[in-house]
Amino acid sequence: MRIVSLFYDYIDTNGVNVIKDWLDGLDLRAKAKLNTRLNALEYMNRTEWCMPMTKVLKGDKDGLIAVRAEHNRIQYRLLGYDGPNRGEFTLLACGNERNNRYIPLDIGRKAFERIEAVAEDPVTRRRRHDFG
Amino acid sequence: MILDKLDKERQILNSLDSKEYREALAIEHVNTTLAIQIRMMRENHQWKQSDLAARLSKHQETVSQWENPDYGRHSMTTLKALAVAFDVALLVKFIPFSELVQDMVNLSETRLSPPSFGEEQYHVLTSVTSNLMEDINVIDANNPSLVSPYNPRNMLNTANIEKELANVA
Repeated sequence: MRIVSLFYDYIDTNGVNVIKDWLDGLDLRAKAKLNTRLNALEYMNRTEWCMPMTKVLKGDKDGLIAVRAEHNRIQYRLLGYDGPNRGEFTLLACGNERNNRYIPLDIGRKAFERIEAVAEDPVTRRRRHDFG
Repeated sequence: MILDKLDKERQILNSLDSKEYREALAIEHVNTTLAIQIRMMRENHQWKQSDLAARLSKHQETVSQWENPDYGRHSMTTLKALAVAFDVALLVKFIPFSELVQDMVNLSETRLSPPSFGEEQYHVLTSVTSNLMEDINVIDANNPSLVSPYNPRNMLNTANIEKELANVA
């Protein structure tokens, strides 16, 4: 057994795990899809990460990676980045994609703000991803 | 890392209380790992999607679907044909959920991309050769008189002795 990338969830200023909150609010099938996908990605070399499971984002979201899943014609997205330490991937923001646009529209800005928050306080502003 | 694995195992086990969720998890684990396995084994063979499609008399788009974790409609016939193409075994069986959780927390590169029969044979052969060489080296160190004449190190020693003899002369 060898985990290649450890997944972490972003924790907001109130101590809420925003990733788990979002996942818990989804259709159970969609939640299961995303959690099994995150689990598999932990064991895969980064060179193996590719579409349609993940997508390296460009433009105003350059530096972010989306973990992707589709269920009942809804495109679910979890945005994260490599860090703050080597071998870690932190999930920062969640949403949907419709007609090549991310919803909420400010998901990229939010994600970048959260990268800074995690960098400033990596102990309390992130927690190991909850697979439950 | 062991604690981490135990935490993950506990989290997944707790989530199984919901019947709807455990059903979804079982289905999605199969869908995800199958799609990843097909893509990784194809790439290990250095085949394009069109190469694999040609071997199975399918269209490239069909292979692309098989490699999509959102697809989830692989038939047994397709899986058996893929096992033949990749020269690996296919194991389909009913298991308790506890075993599903074990499978999830014990994934690895080898499990996601199992070696073909030929690759396995090669690994067995190289492993046996490597063990044999180690045994020869142990014999060499313990009792120089038992050194095989085919050991390259022995030949090197002979060359050194000849060199030294020439120097003395």
